[in-house]
Amino acid sequence: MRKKVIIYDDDTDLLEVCSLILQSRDFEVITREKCNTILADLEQHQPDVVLMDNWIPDIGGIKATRMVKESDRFQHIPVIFFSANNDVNEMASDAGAEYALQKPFDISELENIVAKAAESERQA
Amino acid sequence: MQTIKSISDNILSIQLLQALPVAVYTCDVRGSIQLFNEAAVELWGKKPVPGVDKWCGAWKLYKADGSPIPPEEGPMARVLKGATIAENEELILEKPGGEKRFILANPRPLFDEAGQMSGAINLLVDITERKRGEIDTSRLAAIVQNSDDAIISKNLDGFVLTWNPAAERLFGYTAEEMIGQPILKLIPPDRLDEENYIMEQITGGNLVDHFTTKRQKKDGTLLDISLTISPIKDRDGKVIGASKIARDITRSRIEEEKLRKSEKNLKELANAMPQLVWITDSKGSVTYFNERVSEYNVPAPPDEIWNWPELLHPEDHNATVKEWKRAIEKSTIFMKEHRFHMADGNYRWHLTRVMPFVDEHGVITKWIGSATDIDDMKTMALRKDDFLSVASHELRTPITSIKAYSQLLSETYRNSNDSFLKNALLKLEIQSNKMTKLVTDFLKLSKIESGKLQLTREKFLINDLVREVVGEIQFVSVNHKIILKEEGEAVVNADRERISQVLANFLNNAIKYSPGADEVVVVIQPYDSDVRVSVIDKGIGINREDHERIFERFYRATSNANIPFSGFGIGLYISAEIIRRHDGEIGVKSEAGKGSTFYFHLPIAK
Repeated sequence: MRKKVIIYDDDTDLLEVCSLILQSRDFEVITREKCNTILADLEQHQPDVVLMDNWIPDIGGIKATRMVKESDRFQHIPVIFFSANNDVNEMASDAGAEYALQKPFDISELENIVAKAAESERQA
Repeated sequence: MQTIKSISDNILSIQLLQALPVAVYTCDVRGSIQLFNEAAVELWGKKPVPGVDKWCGAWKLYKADGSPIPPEEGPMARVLKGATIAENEELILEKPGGEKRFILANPRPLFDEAGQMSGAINLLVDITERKRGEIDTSRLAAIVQNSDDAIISKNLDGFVLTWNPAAERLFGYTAEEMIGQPILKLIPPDRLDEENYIMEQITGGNLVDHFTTKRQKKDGTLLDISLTISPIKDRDGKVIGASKIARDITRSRIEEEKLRKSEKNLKELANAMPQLVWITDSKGSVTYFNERVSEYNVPAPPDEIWNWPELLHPEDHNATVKEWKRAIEKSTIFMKEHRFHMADGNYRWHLTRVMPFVDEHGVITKWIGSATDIDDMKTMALRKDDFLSVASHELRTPITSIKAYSQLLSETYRNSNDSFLKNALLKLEIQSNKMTKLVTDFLKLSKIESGKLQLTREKFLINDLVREVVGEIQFVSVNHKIILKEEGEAVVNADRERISQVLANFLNNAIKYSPGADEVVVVIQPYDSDVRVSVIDKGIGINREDHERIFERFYRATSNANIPFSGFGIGLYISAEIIRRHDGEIGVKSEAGKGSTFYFHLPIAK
């Protein structure tokens, strides 16, 4: 069964290229430009991995991630926090995300981290 | 005294002798002491042995000037030898035990019935008390004569009795002009009733102390005077006159006025300054503050002593007070940026600087502090930091897409035969990597500036790192050959990436600034406790004046003006910072036209 990734980012070009990259690695990709409806999205799509940008309307990536991690229903889903910010590691742990990815990244980095996150989910 | 006949065996005469309150004694012609009375024993302090003691019963005898007289040269001896009688000769007699008495000696020869000299008689009058009195009086007189203060005495009717030289100088009247004159002569017309007050006090037996007033000189000019008047009492304690000491305080008044003006000047200066200025005692409690204090949220009205830390922003309070207390303990200058509470309720950033002041023993007596409002600058600096963060973030976002797409394209067309396409895609990726690096470097630049750069240290062989960097740069430098000379090996504990950046900076500069040459030499030289890495080129060199400044933030050496500045690189400024953070040394040896050697030292890891 294909793994499902949901990507939150306000940059549509980035959403597109990430989709292309991940789809070529056999992931099913859902893209969102806003994160307010995150819990509803998760309910609807039941993804294996969440890829969350920091700067995303309206509540921002950190708050959105916290919401996921505080909900009993969805806290088991691994979250990869990505940002162009230098402090991405700090921000990720602050938010409760398990993984952090610094932008800009090599496409191989993206592939590897999503694969790793998907694996860990399966084990949970 | 009449010459008297020998008075031996005359009981009345002997009783008379004993009764006399003056010392009397007789000697025979040979000088042996025959008779003496109780007063003589009292005066000598010892009893003479008749027939044994000669000339004088005193322990020791001196002339009035203090030079010793042997008894055989004393007055008795001289009279017996027939010398002329000296009346009331002043001598000093010393008793056993050392006590000295002043005496007047009156020796007379004695004659028998035949008119032959049978001996001599001496009368000694003890004038010690009188003498002491004289000495005291002359001492006092000398003091009064030589005093710089005018000393005047007057009787109860107000007439001047004595007038010392200082009084002459002060008032302009000679002693002849003033003695016997009323003291009122000195008093200006509008102050005549002062004399009544003074005499009232004096007749009551009271002292008038440091009475500040004015008196008139002979030429009519007025003097500012401080008077001290004391009653003169007779032996029964009755007031018989007054003694006045007058001190001219015109001079000190002028000095006081000058002092007041100068203080006023300083106060005006302190108030004109745009800073808040204050002075604290040695413990840090405020004793003075300038007018700027009204702009701050001080407890109103400000007491003489209040605590300036009360004005601090709660977030800055603990750290500031801690450092202030440490400065007091260590007696060092205190400097800190923090926020003060302003009168309008806002907080503004200030730079406070407080300095200790010591007395001649090196003990701190006070601290002087100033606080400069740096809020505008600080806000801008904070905004700049924010801006840099935001800018780098914003720049990286589009770069992410560019990089991702170019990599995706490369991957998609990796099997293509179109070499142009593959080359183009490679170039795209290289450039986007370059751009990423630029943005990162730009951010690092600002971080280094604000002191936020973190070093990640590890132990490694410096030679490995140098070889790596030389290899990388050689790879892209077609026009220059980099020669590596390793004079030894050394292990350092450093941030690998940062040191590579420094070396890369040196190498890139060496290549860039020697367009006419073809060789760059890198040397590794280990020493006892550090290792030196140098990069030597034969390029355009650097002027002596630029040597120091070349490591400054924005400095462009004049010789480099024509060579384009590409990229942010990390530059010599950051290289210097990195090396300094490693406790190393950085420097350059160069001469214009003769090439340069850039070097850095790193401590060898233990």
